Formats: sequence, structure tokens, C-alpha cells
Amino acid sequence: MSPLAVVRHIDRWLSPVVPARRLAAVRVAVLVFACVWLAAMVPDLLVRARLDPTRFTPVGVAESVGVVAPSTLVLTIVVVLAAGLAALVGLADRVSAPVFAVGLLWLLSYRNSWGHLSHVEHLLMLHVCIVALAPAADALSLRRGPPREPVSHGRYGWPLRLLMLVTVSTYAIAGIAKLRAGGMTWLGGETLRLHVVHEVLRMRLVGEQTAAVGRWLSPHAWVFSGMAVATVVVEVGAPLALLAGRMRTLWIAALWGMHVGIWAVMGIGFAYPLSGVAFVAFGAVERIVDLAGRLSAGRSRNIVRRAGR
Amino acid sequence: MFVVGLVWWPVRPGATDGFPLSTYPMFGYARSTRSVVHTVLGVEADGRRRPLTPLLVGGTARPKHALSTAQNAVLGGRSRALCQEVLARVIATPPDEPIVAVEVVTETWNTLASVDPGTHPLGRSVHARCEVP
Repeated sequence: MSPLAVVRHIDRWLSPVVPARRLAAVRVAVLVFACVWLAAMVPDLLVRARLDPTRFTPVGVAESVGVVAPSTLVLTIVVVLAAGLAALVGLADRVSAPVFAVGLLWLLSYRNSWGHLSHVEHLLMLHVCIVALAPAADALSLRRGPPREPVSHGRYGWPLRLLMLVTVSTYAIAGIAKLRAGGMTWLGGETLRLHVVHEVLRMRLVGEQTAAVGRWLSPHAWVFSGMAVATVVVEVGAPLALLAGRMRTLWIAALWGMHVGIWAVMGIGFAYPLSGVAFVAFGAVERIVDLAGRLSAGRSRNIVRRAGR
Repeated sequence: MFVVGLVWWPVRPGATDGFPLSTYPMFGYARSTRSVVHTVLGVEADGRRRPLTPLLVGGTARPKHALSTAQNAVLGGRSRALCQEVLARVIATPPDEPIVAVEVVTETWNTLASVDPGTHPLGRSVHARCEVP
């Protein structure tokens, strides 16, 4: 294959021609999750607004803004949630989606700026930023525009590829971090075992009885050897999920299964991947929308038929 | 490609963890067989220590935030201030079982043995103690 052909092949892969509905369905899934997550975090954000400001250790964009008054925080939450809902239904998406992304970035940075940086929101935040910058509201949208859905195009494909690349990158980085910090020793499982038991102990010392499976497994060193190898293989091998077909299905299932395992053994729930939304860009999700549409249309026809009798 | 490059940017040597770009360091680093945990405990009338809830320790319902709060206070020399803060919360919303004092402590445990019921810490340093009036 000539270099030009290789470049063309890569270009075709990076911008596949897909229906606008596929990207739009991903937008809906990601933004539904983000809005629900933000709404669920509101009580925690408001509690943090009353913490001693000396405990503020800013991360990310929260550094440039600093500690804000509780009233400012409440106002920001309201504006960001409104922008999120507008972006979700595709209203004024060129403004609402970026406003939601920037606002969410600040709110989640602010929430993580009180001494503990959680890693459960990173991927969600990256996905929201990508969706906000993509033409993701050309279908499944309430905005005014041409009544017909635009034809399939590469401009709906590149955001999906970017979501996929970012997703597998985060897992690969996590896997490489384990090998860089712990070397091949990490694969032996003892480091993982010590981390799990340490986590169980820490939770117990603040009155939390979580991770019963981890406590139960802790005497069995061999289980942790298997889990350590599986974790590194699944994480470092995450780019295999970019391949089409069974390999993709297998790897997505393995990544999801890893999160189920982490939840069971350590009591740490990565809600975004556990919900499956983190992986929607890997599939032809518009088929679910089409199926829902057909079912809904069928039900409407039945109602009309019954009413006509 | 620029965005993917950004995501990989924290992998460079010497990079620090952040949000939303991260080094994803979770559980990667080596762990000692001894666990050192900074926390805040309640002291009962008979001298027994027991854990306080995350809400009392850190001011939020998040356990990890509570533990980070205790760790940052101990390592940052603010144990006395945290002790007073927790005491104020204990007075405002007393725990179900009464306590006579609050202690900001560092406990050292044999990690693997810690899961056995009835195991005690190998050592405990008390950084600050606040009596409940």
C-alpha cells in the first residue's frame, strides 16, 4: 500500500460516514448522564460551599476562580443545569452545549478542590467537551431547522472516533501508570491485594463497611494475581476496542466487567462506565432510537385502530 | 489528534495528576505491608475509640473526602483546627452513642491482618484531642 493510500485509509477511519442520528443519540445519552450526575451532586456541592476556605486546594480551572460565595455557586448550578437540558434537547446547542461543558468543567473541578481528587468524573468530562464541540444536534433535536434529517456524513463520524480514542486512551494510561509505578511486580498481585485491604481499612476508620467482597477475598493471594494480570491486560489492551467486530464487543465487555469487579472488591463505583454510557460511541446506537421510534409508531397505530372501532 | 495528544500529555515524566486530564495513578504505586491512616476518632467514656461518620470528620458524606481532610490536616499541621471543627459538628449533631472526646490520630496497622475481627492498630499517635463539654 502506498503512503498516500495509508493516509487515505487513516482519514477514512477517522471520519467515517455515519448518520447524524448516531452522533445525536450519543449526545442524548452523554448529556442525560451528565445532567443527572450534576443534579445528584448538587447537595454535595452545596455542603462544600460551607467548608472552611482554608481547605480549598484547587484543581484544574477552579484554580483561576478560587473560592466563591454559596450564592454564586447556586446560581452557577442553575445556569449550567439549564444549559445542559437545552443542549440535551438540542435547543440553541451552539451556545448551550459549550456553556454546559465549561460550566460543568468548573463545577466538577470545584467539587474536586477540597482535598480529594476523585477519578470517577474525568472520562465523563472529556466526553461532554467533545459532544459540546461536535455537530451533535443535527438530529433528535427540538431546534428549528430543515424538517429532514441531514444525510450521513463524515462530520458526524469524527466526534465518535474522538470519543472512542479518548476512552481507550484513558484506560491505556491507567494501565501504563501501573506498570511504570509498580513495574512487573504489580502483575504479581500483592500490590493490588495491599491496596484493596488498605482501602477496606481506611473505609472502616470512617465508619463505612463497604467492599465486603474485597475483605472476603483478602486471604486468597492467588485471586489478586489473576485480577492484577487481567486489569493490566484489559487496560493496556484497551485500544483493541477500536477494532470492529467481535474484538470490540469483547473488549468493551471486559472493560465494563473490570468496573463491576472494582465496585464489588473495592466498593468504588465508576458510575459513568458502569452505566454503559461511556461506551455508547462504540456502537450503532441510532438503531435503539429507530427501534424505539418503530415501537412508538406501532403503539400509536394500535391506539388509532382501537379508537376507530 | 490534538485532543488525543492532550489526554496523553500527563503521561510525560514529572507530570502531576489533575482534572480533567489525569495520570490515572490509582492503585499503581507500591504499597507497604503497613498501613498508615490519618483519621478522626470518637473517644467513649470507657476510653474505647470508635470511628466517626464522614459527615462529622470531613463535613461531607463522602468517606474519601473525610480521609483526605484528616490527612491534609495532620500533614499540614492543622490537627488542632480540624479537631475543633469536628467537635463543633459533634456538638451540633451528637452521634447515637455518646462520646467524651474527639481525637485526630494517625494509626499504623498491619495491612493484611487488619481485616481480622478484633485486630488492633500497631500504633496510634494522637495529634489533637478535644473534650466534648
